[in-house]
Parts: sequence; C-alpha cells; structure tokens
Amino acid sequence: MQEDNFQQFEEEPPSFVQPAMTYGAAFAIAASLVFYGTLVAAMSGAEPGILPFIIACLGCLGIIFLPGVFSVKSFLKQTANKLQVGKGAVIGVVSGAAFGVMYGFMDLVWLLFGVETSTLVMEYTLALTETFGGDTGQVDEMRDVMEEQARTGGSIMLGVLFNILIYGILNMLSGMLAVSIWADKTSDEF
Amino acid sequence: MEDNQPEITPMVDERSWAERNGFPSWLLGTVWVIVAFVIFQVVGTLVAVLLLLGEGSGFDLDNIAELAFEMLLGNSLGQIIGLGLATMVVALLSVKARNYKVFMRFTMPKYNTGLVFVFAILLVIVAQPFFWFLAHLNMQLPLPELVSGMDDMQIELLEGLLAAGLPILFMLFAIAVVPGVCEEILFRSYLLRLFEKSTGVILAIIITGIIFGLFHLRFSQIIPLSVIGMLLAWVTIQSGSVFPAMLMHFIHNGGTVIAIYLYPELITMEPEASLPPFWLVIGSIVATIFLLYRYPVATINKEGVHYVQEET
Repeated sequence: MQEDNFQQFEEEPPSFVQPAMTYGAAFAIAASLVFYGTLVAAMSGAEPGILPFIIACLGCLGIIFLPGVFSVKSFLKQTANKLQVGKGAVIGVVSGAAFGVMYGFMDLVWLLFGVETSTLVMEYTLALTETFGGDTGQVDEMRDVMEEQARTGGSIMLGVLFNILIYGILNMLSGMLAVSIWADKTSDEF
Repeated sequence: MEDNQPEITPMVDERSWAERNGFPSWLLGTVWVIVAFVIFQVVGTLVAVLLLLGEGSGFDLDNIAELAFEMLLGNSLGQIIGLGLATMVVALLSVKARNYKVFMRFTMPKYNTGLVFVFAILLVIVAQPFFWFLAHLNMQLPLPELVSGMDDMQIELLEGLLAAGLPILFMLFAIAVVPGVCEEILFRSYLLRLFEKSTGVILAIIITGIIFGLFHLRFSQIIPLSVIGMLLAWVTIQSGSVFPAMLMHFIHNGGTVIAIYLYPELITMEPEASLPPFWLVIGSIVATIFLLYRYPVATINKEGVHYVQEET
C-alpha cells in the first residue's frame, strides 16, 4: 500500500504539449502542401480551371481542424479517456498555434523552391479572371498591394500572428468537440 | 430515533460552469476579447450600413464627415451590444449568479467612497501631460509600412469624425459615455478578474493593459493606451469597484471631445507641436506617483482577488 502511494506520488501528470505541437506542425505541412501544391500544379497547365482552387480549399479546410482532434485523441489515451472540455480547449489552442507557426514557416520553405505564396493566390485569381474574360484591372491593383506588403517584413510577422490567432481558435473548438465525442462524460480529473 | 438523525445537506457544486468544465480563466478571457471585438465590429458596421441605406446616402469614404453620425451610432450600438451586454451575459459562465456583482466589481467602494472618486478624477487629469509625452515617444518608433498605413487610415477616420460638427452631447455620448461604460465592463470588470485568477494581480494589470492598447488597433498610440489601461486596472483593484475607472475613462475621452469642440485647430496640429513642456511632463509624473501612493484604501479584501463577499 505504501509502495503504491509512493509510486502514485512519483508519477508525473501526462503532458499534452508534445503531441499537440507534433500534430499541429504535421498537419500544417500537409495543409500547405495540399493548398499551394494544387495551385502550383494548376498554374503549370495551359489554362487553370476553378476546380483545382475548390479542391485546394476543401482539402485545406478539412485539414485545419484536425490538429485539435488528433491531439485530444492522443492525450485521451494517456488519461484513460478522462478529460474536461476546458482542457481539450487548451490542447486545441496549443496545437492550433503550432499549426499557425508551421504554416507560416512553410511559406519560407516554398520560397526556397521559387514559389511566393503571398502572390500565388493572386496570380491564380488573375489567370482565372483572364481565362473567363473578366476585368483584370482591380486584380492587378490588388496584386501590386500584395507585392508591396510582401516586400516589408512586417507582413510576415503579422501573417504568423494572424495564423496563430485563427487556427488557435478553430482548433480550440475542434479540441472541445473531440472531448465531447470521445471522453468519458463523468470526467473531472484532468 | 428519527430526531437524532443528522440533517443531511445535499451536496451543491459551488463552482462556476467554467470551473466545473476545466476552462482556464486566461483562455476564456483571451477568446472572449477576440469574440467581443468581432461582434462589436460586425454589429457596428451592419447598423451603420443599414442606416445609410435607409437614408439613401452613398458610401463616400472620402467624405467621412457626411457619414459621421451613422458611423458613430453604429460604433456605439456595436460597443453596447458586443462589449457591454454580451460580456455581462458571458460573465455568468465564470461566476455563480449570487457572486456576480462582486465578481464584476459592480459595487461602490466600501470605504472612503467620496475620496476614491476624487482621487480618480485627479489622477486622470494630472496624468494627461504624461500620456501626451508617451504618445509623442510612441510616434517616434518605426512601424512596418503595412501597420503605419493602417494607423494613418485610423487617424484620418478619427479626424473626420471629430471634425464633422455633430452636436456636442451626441459626441460625448458616442465617444465618452459608451466607451467609458462598455470598455470598462469588458476590460476592468471581466477580463481583469479572469487574469487575476490565472496570473495574479500584477500580471493581470499589465496583461489587460496591453490587451486594451492592442484592442484600439492604433499602433502609433499603443504605449499610452496600454499605460492608461494599466492605470485604470490598478484603480479598479484598489477601489474594489469598476465605477471609478468608468468615470476616469469618461473624463479622458470627454476631455478630448470638448477640447476639439472648443479648439478645432487641434485636429490638424503637427505631432511635434503637441509635445507638452518638459517641466509639465515631470510635474505630471511626480503628481501621478504621489496620487497612486496616497490612493485611499477602499477594498473589502486587501488582496483584491477573493471576490466572494465576506459579509452577507
């Protein structure tokens, strides 16, 4: 009995930080590859259609909620399915923040391959507009603005902060949902 | 036999909804300030647009003065709904209803009530040259082009609104009363309390002050705004009441409105010309420190963290 108590005293509470950050980073890489990879492939063709953009958006949209879900699912294994919704929210926020940072970092990786992600979407939109015979004047103006912003370092930092905020909140919600679905209803320990 | 049976009191969970479900206070506070900001902006924009459409007016953003009334009214309604009312409802997640007033500090200072308010008024007045100095310092800091562009747009918008020539009472309502009440409910009633529970009093004052500064999205003024936020937070904790901070906020904003109303040339004054004399800044700093040091004790609990009333 004493040994059991001593062992219980010695055991550290499980940590969610590593799985949260790992899943956040992994899914960010996947989302970036799906979204920008699809656009790059579409732009390399003769005339880019709308379908690649839809696929890119849907694929990315499906991925951005997954870090919170997988992080919570992984942590539930360590806590024998006992977890409070609030804790799931915290896990989701951490994994979403990791997602946001890695997603921003992937922009630099794409740059190594000669792809400027900040202007890729605008270039794609411009190509689509030209394909369908629309007014390219406004899109040209927007591209000039984005290129100007891309030249200043402040936009990168702001982009990362924005990513952390948005993906943190989105994965907070998905983390809470994961707890509601998979955790035991009577949990009050973690 | 039955008379000797002890009375069994049913177990009642005294914890708030947030505590029962394991939500850390800092997370609730951070998420709520973002959500409240979004509600404020959406409601404000929607109301302004509907008013303009109803009047058949255009959206000439180059002539802010013509849109000023609708924009200010929309802004006020956005603040009342998004920052004030919504925060008061959401706060019920973090506290039991019977402790609500004390939690939100919707109580008058228990001791030295009159003196607390007098000191609050004096503080906000004597600190003004110091805030002007901080604003001048802030404007010397280099900002990224994107951020300074956003800031210039904000300043242009504010100048247009202040120069619109609207009735002074409406301007005081929209720029002094509404923010003075609604922003204080969000930042000093709710947010400050949440961060006190998570980080302790000192960090709560600093963090909520910085969030207050960031909230205004004016990066050329973020330092004075953050310092004002910290000062208001400190007064709230010392007073045990949010009402002195509301009064200070009203005086600070209302003073600007009245100054512009009496001296319209202040709007287009160059930043260098608005730097107060050195002796005034030093005097302001000394007077502010003195008033802070001598601020009357008004709280029930000296730590200011335990919000449940000790006397029932």
